[in-house]
Amino acid sequence: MRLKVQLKIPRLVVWPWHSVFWKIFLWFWLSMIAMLVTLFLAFAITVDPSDFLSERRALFRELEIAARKMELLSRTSVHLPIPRFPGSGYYLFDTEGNILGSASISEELVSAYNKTRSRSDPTITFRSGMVVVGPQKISLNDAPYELYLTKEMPVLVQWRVKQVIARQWHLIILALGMSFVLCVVLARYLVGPIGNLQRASRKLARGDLSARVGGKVARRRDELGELARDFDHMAEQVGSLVFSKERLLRDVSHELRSPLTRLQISLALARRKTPDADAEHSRIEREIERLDQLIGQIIHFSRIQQNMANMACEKVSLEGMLKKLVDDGDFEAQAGDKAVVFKETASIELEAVREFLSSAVENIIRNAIRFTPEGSEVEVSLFRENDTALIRIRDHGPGVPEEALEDLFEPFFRVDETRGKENDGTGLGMAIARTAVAQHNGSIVARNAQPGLEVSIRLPLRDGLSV
Amino acid sequence: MSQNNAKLLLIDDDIELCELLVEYLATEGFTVSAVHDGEAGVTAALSGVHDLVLLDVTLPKLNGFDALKQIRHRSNIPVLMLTARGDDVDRIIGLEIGADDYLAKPYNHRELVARIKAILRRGRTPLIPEGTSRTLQIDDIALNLANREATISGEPLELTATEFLVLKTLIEKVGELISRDDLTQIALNRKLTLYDRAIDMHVSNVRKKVGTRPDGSARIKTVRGSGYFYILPS
Repeated sequence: MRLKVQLKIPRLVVWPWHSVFWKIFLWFWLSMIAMLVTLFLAFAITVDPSDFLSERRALFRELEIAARKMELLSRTSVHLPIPRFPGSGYYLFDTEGNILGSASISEELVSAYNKTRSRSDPTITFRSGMVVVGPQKISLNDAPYELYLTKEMPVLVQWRVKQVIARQWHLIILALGMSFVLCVVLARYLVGPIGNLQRASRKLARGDLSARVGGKVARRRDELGELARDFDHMAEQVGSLVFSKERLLRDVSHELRSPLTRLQISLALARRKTPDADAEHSRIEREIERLDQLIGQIIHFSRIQQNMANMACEKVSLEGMLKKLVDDGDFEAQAGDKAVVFKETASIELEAVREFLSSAVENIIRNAIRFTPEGSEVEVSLFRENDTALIRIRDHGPGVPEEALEDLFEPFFRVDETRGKENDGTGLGMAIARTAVAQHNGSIVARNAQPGLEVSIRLPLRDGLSV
Repeated sequence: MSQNNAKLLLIDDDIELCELLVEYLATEGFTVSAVHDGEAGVTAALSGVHDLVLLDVTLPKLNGFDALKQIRHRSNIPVLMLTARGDDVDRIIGLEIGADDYLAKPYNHRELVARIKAILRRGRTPLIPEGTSRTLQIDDIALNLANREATISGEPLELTATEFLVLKTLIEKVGELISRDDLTQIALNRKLTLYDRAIDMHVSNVRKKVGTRPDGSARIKTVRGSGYFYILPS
């Protein structure tokens, strides 16, 4: 439980600023704040202030205070003292209804006055854009008058906003805080599953076909849950497609073995029965051998292609491995008056699946031996380049047309479509090499070295394995 | 030889292959009866009339491993497993359950006969081979010609029948050049033709398996373009 909390809090902090999480959060939060403000304003404008007892009292108080002040002042002055306050207008009427001291009088005031003049106590009347409070009976120099107070609506709103900010700021902070928390929860609720989806799709892209979103996300009933379920379904389909493709190749190869075995036995019987067709029999036998080799290569290829998760990684000394391969290659090459030499070497160790890596290099050396002319050498070198190990294999053969360099590593690719007699490989060697190198997160490239072909294998010394 | 006329039981669901094998093994002097599923195979194997069982792994009703288990419950009749190639697991399981040997498909017929003979001879080990020395010895390599078993420094050396023949030929003529033609003729029983590199592959495999001498020097040497020889121990 504690661990969970510790994990979750930094997660919120590390969310990058341009992420959907912050977008959703900010949008919701902003709209929430905007809504609060709008609500407050709408409330302030539309709701009748007379509905609020305190408001009414405040208005009546203001009017009364103004009246008392005028009464006080009238004792010492001959002038009729009409008070002037910003935002408020005071109007004095005599008993006949004439306005005193002010030349202009608005229609709203007149209509409000006409409506209320007969009342004995002040009331609040609304006219467009204006609040009229009155009549307040006052006597100035012993003569009775009626005092009216007018306030403009907007002034009233502003005043209220100011009042709320001044007196109830803790409420605003509380509202902001609450909405912040709510928006974080909402954004997390919406964005969390996207993170799960992302992790699953990245895993899938890296070749882990067992990657699924699953769990809580897939059990959601909203669109995100649907998306998660669709993703899982897609992953399932992709997995079964890839699997069935690999299985087809493997099954075909396995299935071919039975007829091939029958062919071999038939051949042995034919040899007994017709000893004079020996040349043909030998030919058939060699072709059977070739088919056998090809099948073996296909099975080997599909084994390397499959995830290496269940292969044992070990520390491999590249130098030692290459030495052995060069040695073996040289031995085989000597039969054709060729040679394989180790030109440059470095002491490099890395984590790898020895069998796969060794078969990658072996296939390239074999290929080089095949194409290097008699009397020439295949050169193998190993050196360190920054954080990678670089293995270079170069022959002195005819090289490869520039446009074919990329395709060289495709299964069954042949440089010249007419099968030359020297072209006795299975066509899978280079593809096996590329797949095996890719499984070690490395890269393999070929270039023409004039004369000859130079194949470079780069292997990262850190994080060498995709498993 | 007494091993000829040996009665073999072939358990394989490939009926056509069975027919061919029955005919071919007959020419090698074996009497073969074939059954095509695991259950019938177990019954036949336990009947006591056979000298050796050839057991396929993929079988209907009862697969090869289960059939082998049932056979091993009541009999120690020699069993040669016929497995799919490339599946090391199959091989290991087979040997663990108690197969005497295994052979991967597609198998070479000569290889098959060689293995059958080797197992049958092994079954009669108390019988010391008559006549001349049946073991070839050089450096730390020993080839038992009777049961076709090779050892290196006392450790068993896994060789195919062809590789055994190649090594035997090289050791018999130690220090002498053996041409690729001759080696092809002896080990593969055919003529060397243009672009035929099969013998080179076999020699290469043998070389890989026997490794170097304890002092690090090479055992087998190529003579460019012409052939191979086993270097005389100094």
